[in-house]
Amino acid sequence: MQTNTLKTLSPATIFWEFTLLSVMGFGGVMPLAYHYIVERNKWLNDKEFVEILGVSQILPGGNIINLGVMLGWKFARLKGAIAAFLGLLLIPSFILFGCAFLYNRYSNNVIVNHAFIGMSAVAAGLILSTSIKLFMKQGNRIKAMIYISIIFTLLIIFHLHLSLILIILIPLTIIFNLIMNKKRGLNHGIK
Amino acid sequence: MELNKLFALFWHFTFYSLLAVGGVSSTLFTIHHYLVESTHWIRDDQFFALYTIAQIAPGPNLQIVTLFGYQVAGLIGGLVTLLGMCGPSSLLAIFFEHTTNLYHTSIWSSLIRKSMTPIAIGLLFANGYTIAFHVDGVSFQLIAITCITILLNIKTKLHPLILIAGGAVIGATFI
Repeated sequence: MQTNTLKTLSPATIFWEFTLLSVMGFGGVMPLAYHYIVERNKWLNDKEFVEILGVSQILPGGNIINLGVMLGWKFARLKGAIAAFLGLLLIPSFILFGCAFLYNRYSNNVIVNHAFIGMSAVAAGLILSTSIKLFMKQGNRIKAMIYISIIFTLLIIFHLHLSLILIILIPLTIIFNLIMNKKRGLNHGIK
Repeated sequence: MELNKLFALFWHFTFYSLLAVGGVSSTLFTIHHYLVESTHWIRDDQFFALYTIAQIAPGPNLQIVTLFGYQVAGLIGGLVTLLGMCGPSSLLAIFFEHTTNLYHTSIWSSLIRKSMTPIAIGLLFANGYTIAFHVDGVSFQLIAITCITILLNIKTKLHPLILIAGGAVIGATFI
């Protein structure tokens, strides 16, 4: 379907490259994905990467997992998709099982417990500061502020279920953006 | 009944995968409600410790659900939860890649992404707030750690792992 090269890759290569990508990804794999997929392996060009990334972001589930299985399928069908899936998740899962085992073993220790309380406070700060950074990057901050307020009120103050909030908010926003695009005479062109 | 538990984990996390707009952190509050408050399968302090472990360890962010599943029902629980979170969604992604031309969908996907960005930011903020509120409680020191983290992460380029390590040292020595 893609216009240029119809490459095929061996599932083993896909598995190995995604394992490497995943194991190198401290604090998330997505920031490294472009480097591995486009620059290092040249599996996709810039434009193809943006397209596949865009779709992987709007589908449910993890972005990088979606991207991986789509890419695996593209180059080696089912075996490729399975190879990417396992590459991304297998080794990190066992690292995590090891960590959880150690945690359960030592969490009764007061010092370990206090270290975790301190780290959790940092983790909370990291989520908050990530949202603040994303907010600062928004072109229309007033609009973003309205969204933050609405979601905060519905989720935290009124305790509405997340699914309900999304079912209402996502279609409304899409319709709103469609109308705005029509008004501006844009053919909602490609970014 | 262990099998019922595994089914419950699988379906709940398949459902959460639908809600993870902008990443799994957007659903943390919802997952916390299920695992800590409704079922009492995980203790409050365990929940946040596990979340922190997942932040430190390498791998995709959504792997945090593996740890939640592990804590509830062991190794199998972890794998079942992970499969629930990304099995069905992977099949959907393959179906999408196979049946549609991504080039044509990119018009729609960019519109949908544009619409979801402010929602994702709002969700991330609300989740961050809840977690901070929960973890820090009324402890002055913990509130200070969270605030300093926010400042450092916005103003400097320090790697998050360094900040987490700092939190561990301060937690172990001063709290």
